[in-house]
Amino acid sequence: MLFNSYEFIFLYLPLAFFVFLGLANYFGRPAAISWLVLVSFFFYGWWDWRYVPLLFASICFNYWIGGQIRQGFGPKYWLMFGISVNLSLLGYFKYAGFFLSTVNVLAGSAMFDVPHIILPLGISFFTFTQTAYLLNVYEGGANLCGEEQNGFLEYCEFVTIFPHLIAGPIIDHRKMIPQFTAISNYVLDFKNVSVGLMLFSIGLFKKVVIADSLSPWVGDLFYRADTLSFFEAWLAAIGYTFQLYFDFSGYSEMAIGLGRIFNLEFPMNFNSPYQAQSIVDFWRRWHMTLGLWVKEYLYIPMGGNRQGEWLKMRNLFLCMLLIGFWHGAGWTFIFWGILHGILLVINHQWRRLHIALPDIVNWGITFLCVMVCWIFFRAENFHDALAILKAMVDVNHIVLPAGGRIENIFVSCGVLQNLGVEFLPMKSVQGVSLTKFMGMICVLGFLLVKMKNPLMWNLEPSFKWMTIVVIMFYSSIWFMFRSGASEFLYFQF
Amino acid sequence: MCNWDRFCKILTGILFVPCFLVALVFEGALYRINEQKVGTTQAIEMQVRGKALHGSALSGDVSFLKYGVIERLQPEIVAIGSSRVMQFRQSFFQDTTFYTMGGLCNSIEDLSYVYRTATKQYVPRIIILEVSWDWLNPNYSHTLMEKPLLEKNAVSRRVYLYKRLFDSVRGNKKVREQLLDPDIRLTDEIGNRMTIGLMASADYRGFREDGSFQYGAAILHLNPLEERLRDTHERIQNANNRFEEAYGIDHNELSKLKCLIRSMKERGVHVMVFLPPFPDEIYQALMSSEKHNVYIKTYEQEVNNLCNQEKVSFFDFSNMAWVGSSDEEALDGFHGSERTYGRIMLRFVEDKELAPYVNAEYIRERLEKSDSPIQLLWYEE
Repeated sequence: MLFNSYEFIFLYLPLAFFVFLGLANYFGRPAAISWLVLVSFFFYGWWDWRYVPLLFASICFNYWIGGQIRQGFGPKYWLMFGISVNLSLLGYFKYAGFFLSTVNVLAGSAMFDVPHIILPLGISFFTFTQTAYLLNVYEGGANLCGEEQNGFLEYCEFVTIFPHLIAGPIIDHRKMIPQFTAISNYVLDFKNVSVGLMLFSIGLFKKVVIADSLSPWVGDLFYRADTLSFFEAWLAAIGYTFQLYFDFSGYSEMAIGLGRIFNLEFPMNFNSPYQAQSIVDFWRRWHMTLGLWVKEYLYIPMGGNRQGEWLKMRNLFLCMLLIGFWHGAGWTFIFWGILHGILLVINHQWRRLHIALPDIVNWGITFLCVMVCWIFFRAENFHDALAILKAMVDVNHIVLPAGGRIENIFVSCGVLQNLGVEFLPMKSVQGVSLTKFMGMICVLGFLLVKMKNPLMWNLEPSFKWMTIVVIMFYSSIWFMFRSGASEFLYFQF
Repeated sequence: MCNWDRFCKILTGILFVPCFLVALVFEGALYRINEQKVGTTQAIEMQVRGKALHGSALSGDVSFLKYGVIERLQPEIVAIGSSRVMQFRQSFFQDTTFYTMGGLCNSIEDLSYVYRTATKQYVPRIIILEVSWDWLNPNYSHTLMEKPLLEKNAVSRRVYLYKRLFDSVRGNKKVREQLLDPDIRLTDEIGNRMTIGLMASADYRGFREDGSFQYGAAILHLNPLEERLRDTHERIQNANNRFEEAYGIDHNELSKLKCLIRSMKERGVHVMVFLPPFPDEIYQALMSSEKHNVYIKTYEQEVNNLCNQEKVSFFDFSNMAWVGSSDEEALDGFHGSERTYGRIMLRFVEDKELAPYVNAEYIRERLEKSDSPIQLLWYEE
């Protein structure tokens, strides 16, 4: 089920919330948790019920392994067994096809039939969440006090609770379980419900009104990557950079808002990443829960920065490679990870030179690097990505939209024609004209650079916020009505 | 403004209550124009159990209805194709069950989709497969037919109808008038069926329980032949809208057809392929047009060759005169009428598998007795 669908907003959410409150009030905490687990499985099964047993089996298995580790009989072996099974599951569903087709390409023949395996929704997220749980149990961090904090029901809620199940934020067992067991979290808190609804509306607006409006143009431009002019190639790159951010951060804010409605504090996932002054800074602001996960469970165990500069660089590079691979079974994703790995290494070495550049230069270089990397992330293949990059530097093929005032001014002067600039009529894509698309890019660019993350906003019970939220909510509902619900980009990962 | 308690109550009220009220208004409007059952299992049930004419003015998508009905009926004989198989009737057959999946295909790929989806639960004994003239045209855009109602859940189907209603009220005067008209006919006077949808109520146009289409307006008032054929003549002249200029067929599409026929045969289905009829005047226009005559000959020949190779029955009815149907029996330049398809059924007896099920005697009797140029069967029949 999509957060940006009518059935979710007007049926599922109210029903889930009011029954949860009712059960908590009349039958106590276990009944309320059971309800949340049940509706979360329903939420997952809405996409494809055949994968519900897989999710349930994964939960049972990890909980059982956690118990074995806690008992202390060969915990290291249990941990390795648990992680191996988790990774095998992820490997089968996400990477088997990629691996076999790569072998076929290397062998130059169809050695293996490449199976068509449907990737279960959210598998990357629930596998990472549960692997972290096993590691925490092994290190003793997840052995929370009291039996109820280690209960199966609470564990089920931790893995499945619907706001984060499909696309994060990746949550930490140690921080969530105490929230699930706190009695105060099972009463109606008007502030939390209000803030939750406000964040949900803001996220909905970012996804439905902004990201989905950029989507047709971005899709069209990347589809004809081979034929883009200089101007269009830049629009494609910037457009996707913005689309991905508004899509994913919108989703995260909706998830955090939904959590708040149920009195749960989910971790922040984005903190104005396009205001970053360096790549290191960018990764502290973009998909923060994934970054933290990789840092805690991969970077630090590999030695982190404690074994000298060379090994620190190696560890950073490998972490980014893994992040690239986590995003998708494809060479373009791996290359995207490699690029970020290289950029991080360069960034760290540059810092050692202690050369201070103006903020605007730092920001510009960072944004440009991130944007170029996104081209590989979005493109269907290397050929398309390189074609876009080539067009972005091809100053001999500048085509500007015809028919506007800009054309009239420059044509009359004859300046641009002498420079080889062409004017061609440009089409609308799904009703969005080029002018509107460009206008959106400019406004969004300004907002992204100037505005703080909505989670940092000082939300208060005022008329101003009421108006803003209502406008955002209803414009989103209207956009949904006109264009229908679209999937979140991060669902594919 | 106030404290969080009050803010929360007001905000929740403002966000949710108006939306439910708007939904209520839409429901009332749908009820008013008799579209409330469109896209519901109730509509499927009505068609399966009794007589219902399903003609929505809001959505042309009948995939939800047709797949639902075929899943329940599991007929032995099925016709698959475009609007050019919507004229076959259950009464044309005897000692068997029949359903036409007509109106769900725009291309060979659509044929495959309909076949795969319709036969998920069971395998029919005989499939009558239409290969429309435009589907092998390399210059025709072979887009898949949209199925907005089929691919959505119950809530989304409802919202889709609201959206269509909203657009219709803005752009269609007839819908606006109907909304204000207190009298809505709930029975179709031609077929004596309950009506589902505004089109069925207002014009008696819609799908019957055997999947066939009742052309209500044409049955009650048939336009002069010249008027009926005009649009098709224009399309031939302009070489557009399914009549794109072509000098050969798209072999890629032909190989898709071959795969489809093979997969049907592999599952033990007896396949019959036919080319649907044009009025003689239109057929002659195509044959005498330089833009089309090479294509139509190639199309007829290649489909024939394919059927010979695959050893399936092939019937070329491209010209309705070949089955003894006059142009007066045409609904328009692209569609034969029920009478034409009755005559086509009489030719289908050449297929030994189908022959025992063709109600030839009855069709002949109706051809003789019916005084309508296009209609063979009336509600009492």
